[in-house]
Amino acid sequence: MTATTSGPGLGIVPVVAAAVLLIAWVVQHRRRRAEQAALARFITRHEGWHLQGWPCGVQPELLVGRFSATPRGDRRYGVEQAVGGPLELQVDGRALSCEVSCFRWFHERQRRSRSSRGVVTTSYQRYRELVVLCQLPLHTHRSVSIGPESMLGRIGLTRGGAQLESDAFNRRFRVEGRDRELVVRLLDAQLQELLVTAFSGRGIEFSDDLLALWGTPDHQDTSLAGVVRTYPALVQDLGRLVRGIPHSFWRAMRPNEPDAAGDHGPAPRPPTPEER
Amino acid sequence: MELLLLMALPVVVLLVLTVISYNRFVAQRASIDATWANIEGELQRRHDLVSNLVAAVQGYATHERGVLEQVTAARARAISAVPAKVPIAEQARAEDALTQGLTSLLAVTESYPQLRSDALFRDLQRQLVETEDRIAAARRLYNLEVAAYERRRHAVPSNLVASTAGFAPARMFEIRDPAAEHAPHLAP
Repeated sequence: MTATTSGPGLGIVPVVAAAVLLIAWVVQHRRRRAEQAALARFITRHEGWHLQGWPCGVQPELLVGRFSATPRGDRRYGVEQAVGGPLELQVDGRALSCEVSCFRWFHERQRRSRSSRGVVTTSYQRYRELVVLCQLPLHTHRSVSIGPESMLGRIGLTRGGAQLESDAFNRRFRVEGRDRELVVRLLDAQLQELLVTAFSGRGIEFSDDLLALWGTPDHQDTSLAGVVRTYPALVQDLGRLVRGIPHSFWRAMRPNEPDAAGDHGPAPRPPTPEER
Repeated sequence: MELLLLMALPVVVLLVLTVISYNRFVAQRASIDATWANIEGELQRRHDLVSNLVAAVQGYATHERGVLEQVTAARARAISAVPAKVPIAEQARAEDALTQGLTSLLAVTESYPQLRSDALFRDLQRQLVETEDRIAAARRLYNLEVAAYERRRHAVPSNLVASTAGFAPARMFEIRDPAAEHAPHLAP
């Protein structure tokens, strides 16, 4: 005669599962509240900054696929924790004001797994990337992408994209751009050195009047919470990058001059976070 | 028959690789020539602008004959150094002399406020800096092409193709950056 003890044990499983879910929800809720509070504190430090639905007034549908940091994924994509406003910089001896936005881009990728019984399960995993977007007062008309070099490229086995004078730069970054003259004008010796010393592993992309800097910065503001910890460093890095753009590039692009070819009509109004 | 094919295979592969390497050298030489033509076009434009600039300065700064003559002579030397038979190093020296002359000329114009406010002069100066920016970019592109070509000419095994086919060495075009010297004189 045998007795089974599985009956009473099974009754505990839903209770434990419910408790785990509850704890997870509470932790997530508290984290979200802390992040919202950190966002509010970050905004008060920058005059004119506010929560944004669309980074720099560009709707996510126009951002998706435009930069390598903003992929479409397989299902949902979009912008999280976007905050932005004007940023004043001194470039080429002149004051330059540009619209800046820090945000987290998310996209979901499909994953398929097959069980031992041959049942296929589809799930979606969410990926996030930190991006700071800057609307420059110029139009490059062409895109230039400077991203981290592959492992093979780093050890010198493959060389893709445009090669520049600095071997250290060529090993760390892969530069893609159809207009080689634009690439050469942008990446002078000083900017190559700056990127090697301060932006290794990060990505920089120019697309017409938008400059995107993506990747996690080296330092964080511990007085803030969540992803907002990285925002001050993102803004600081962006300023450093824009100041590092060579004078000849600014002269060639003629900032602050109206562009006859680039008249895209009035920009649509971005929705406020409340409207969303 | 099979043995013959097996022996011929490495020879065919080697031949194909040699042809690919040779064609890459040909493409690189063509690219070097194209980028050099771009530099020459921009240098020609600078020479034209210099004569206009000298004419514009002459109208105001009549007492600066020495500087004006120096620039005019440097321009003449730079023009005579453009033909293909002149070595690149000599062309670079002539362009450097012209840059130096132009720097002196632009420094002199600082003492003539009327000239500095002249719309034609300002426009010429702006065009000069823009042309020099383009020269700088074209020069870097040319030098990058030369560096890639020279790397292959010296690397193994492409050096065997280069020496057999007689691909001559290419020289870099090293000049002072005129835009960097003249941009500070550009009126805001």
